[in-house]
Amino acid sequence: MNQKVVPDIRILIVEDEEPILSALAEKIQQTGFAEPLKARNGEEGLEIALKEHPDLLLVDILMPKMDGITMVKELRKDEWGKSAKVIILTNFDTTDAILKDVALIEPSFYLLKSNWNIDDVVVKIKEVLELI
Amino acid sequence: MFKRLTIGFKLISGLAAILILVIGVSVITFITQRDRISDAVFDELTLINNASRVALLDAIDGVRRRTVDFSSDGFIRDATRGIIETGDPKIAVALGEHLRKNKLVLDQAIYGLNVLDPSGTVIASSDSHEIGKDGSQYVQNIESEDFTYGVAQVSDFVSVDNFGISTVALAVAAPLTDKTTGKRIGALVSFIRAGDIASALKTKNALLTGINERYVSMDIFLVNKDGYVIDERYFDGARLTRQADIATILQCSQQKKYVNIQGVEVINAALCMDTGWTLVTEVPVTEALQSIEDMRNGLVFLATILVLLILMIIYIIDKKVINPIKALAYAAQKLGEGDFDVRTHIIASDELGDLSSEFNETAEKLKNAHDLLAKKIREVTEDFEKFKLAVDGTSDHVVITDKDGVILYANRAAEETTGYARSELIGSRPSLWGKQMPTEFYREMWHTIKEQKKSFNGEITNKRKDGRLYIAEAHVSPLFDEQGNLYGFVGVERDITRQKEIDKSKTEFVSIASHQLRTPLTIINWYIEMLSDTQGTVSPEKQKQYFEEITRASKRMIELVNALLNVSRIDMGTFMVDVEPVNFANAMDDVLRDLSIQIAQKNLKILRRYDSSLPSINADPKLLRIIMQNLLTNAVKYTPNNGAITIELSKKGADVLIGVTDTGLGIPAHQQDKIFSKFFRADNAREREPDGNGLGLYIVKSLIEHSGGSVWFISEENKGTVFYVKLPLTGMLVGKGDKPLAV
Repeated sequence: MNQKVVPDIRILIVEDEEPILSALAEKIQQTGFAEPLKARNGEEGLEIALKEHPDLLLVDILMPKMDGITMVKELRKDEWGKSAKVIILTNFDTTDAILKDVALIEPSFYLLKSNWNIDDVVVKIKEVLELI
Repeated sequence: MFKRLTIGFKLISGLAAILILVIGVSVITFITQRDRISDAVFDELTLINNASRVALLDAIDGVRRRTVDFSSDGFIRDATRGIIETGDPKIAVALGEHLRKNKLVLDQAIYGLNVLDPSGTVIASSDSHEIGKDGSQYVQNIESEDFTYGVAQVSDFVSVDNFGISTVALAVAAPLTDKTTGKRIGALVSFIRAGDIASALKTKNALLTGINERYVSMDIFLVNKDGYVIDERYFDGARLTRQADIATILQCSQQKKYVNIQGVEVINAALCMDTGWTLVTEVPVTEALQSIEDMRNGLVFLATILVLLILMIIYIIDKKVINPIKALAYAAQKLGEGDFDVRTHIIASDELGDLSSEFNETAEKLKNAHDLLAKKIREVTEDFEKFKLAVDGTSDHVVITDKDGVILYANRAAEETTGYARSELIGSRPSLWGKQMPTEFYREMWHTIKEQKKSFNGEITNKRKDGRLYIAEAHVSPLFDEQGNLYGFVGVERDITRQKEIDKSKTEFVSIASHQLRTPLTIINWYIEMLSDTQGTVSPEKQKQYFEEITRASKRMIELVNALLNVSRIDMGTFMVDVEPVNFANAMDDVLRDLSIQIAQKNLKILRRYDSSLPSINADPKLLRIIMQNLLTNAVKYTPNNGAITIELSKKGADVLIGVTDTGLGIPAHQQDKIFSKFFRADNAREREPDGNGLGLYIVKSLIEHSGGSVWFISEENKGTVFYVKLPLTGMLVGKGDKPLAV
């Protein structure tokens, strides 16, 4: 079932931690999605997102040059970006001060990476994409 | 301006006034009395004159009547006619005999009797020697028709030289007539000695006895028409020697006082008689006014006594009243100036003595009260000073306001916290540094402290004078007086900005640290999950890659945990610094050896420029190793392949200088100021080496500064960076901590 639908769906991963980026990209591809778009900081992520209009953005928060929150704020200013689907993946806890603005950027979901299995992350991706 | 008069002056003035009054009254009394007495004396003298005149006239009248009586004697008349008709000397002798034996003896006043014929010649006499003398001068108009029986003529006082005596006398003449024809045949002349007449003036008159006795020196004398004093004292035989003062006589009874011919000041009274004589009575003023003189002397005596008495009173008052009052006044002044030991020493059993002892008692009481009060004040002041010192010195900002919120007191911490000087704070309101919170906050605060009368506690953001905000923990309490009335507020603020920052940084540290720990954990979790893929699609190459990722993440975590532990110990100041002489060159080479694999992989050129004369320096080898390791690791990590790293060890003044120069990424200019911050990593470094934890330089800086050295860098992006570390040649400062740092 999945195999039919997902190849059309493009996901953008914005993550500076290379091992995490690789793991996510690999898992997503394994699940049947097209090879995800990759960005290693917020600036790059914003640029690719606005250019490629991916179906879903997986955004880390702590990144060089531009953090994930700032990136999504910028994205929301864009006509397309305003309703773009975003999952925040971070290792900051919701109680951390840095996340107090997360709600403002209206992510579809927020998850704490270390608490999640990568398979469950993929399930959540499908859920957000309303594939299940 | 009123001149202040002393009691002494007033007293003396008063007494002097009384004295002057008494003397004045006395003098006036004396003068009036003197005049009055003088008048009285004059009146008395006039009285005496009147009495004297009566006596004088009586005496003369007696002689006149006697003479008239004699003129009626038949024998005298007959004998006279016989002598005139016959000229018979026998008759004249007989008549003379008759006159001497029968008539002269009848009146002691009459010392001689002459019978004149009409021509005035003496034809018969009580003294036969007088016969033949001219006696006409004693009779005027002997031929006059008026000179008839019963009439007698009284002559003036005249000097006579008859009857064998030379004297001043009066002649009283009566006509002798013929018994049958009644024809005037001659005259009978009686001679009276003026002295006898004058002595009549001295006759003791019963009425005047008192007066006569009073005036011992009183003189009464008669002055004749020619102005001679008729008094035996002044007769030189028949000659009148003393002429009276004419003015006296002329003025008759008007004269009161004058200096008589003997140069004595007298009071006199003169009486002019029909006979042309003047009766004069005079008393020396000294005697007449004896009483008044006595009175004057009395007055002078009294005045003297009075003056002495007053002087004595003044002396006594001065000594007994004024001096004590002055002493009291002086003592009171001293007391007023705060000399509570002053005492008066007035020993007197009177009001002043009482006052003096009262004063001394009061002074004693005052001294005691003052001492007690001074002690109390000292105690209270000491307490207050202690209290004030405590409040002033406390690190909490304390402000006391009145009930309208106007600041009455602010302590030193209030100055420090708000940045306003106390002079600016006092009189202002706390809104000076407040107004940063929402209106509701203040409304609630005022409601609590003013309406509910409760303390308000809260965290408040305020603004310093320099514009910086600070966070304070505030306690505001209402202050009530003993009656429970609100009279002010006390506000205590504790600046918790730093605390907040520390809390925040701690929270952030925990937040970031846990984030950093979760990242390798995530990697480990996920790769293990991928390895254990039950579908068995993981190729051996993938497996190898996954294992590598897991290994790297584990290593990263160990490094991170060590670094976090070090940071924690550094931040708490509990790390150990254990110094020993260290050869810096050897230490540096040890670190280089550890990094030799990476250096070789990147083909980096290492230049070692060590000053060979550098001595061993007291340093903690572990700390030094951490410092050198971090600097060299960074240089190796961020220098591209084939780059060069220069390591320098040299002496610079009193310091040893470590220089590490790389040809690496360099630090972006806009991030250079944050490079030593905890967890901070420059963007370019993070991109290139995501594994770093951002704690290395923070640890380096903390350790160097803790050891008494300093660290700085010069960097340009894409060119390279040089880090310098300076440590004193005398060695690292020894710290107090006991926890070793992880290497």
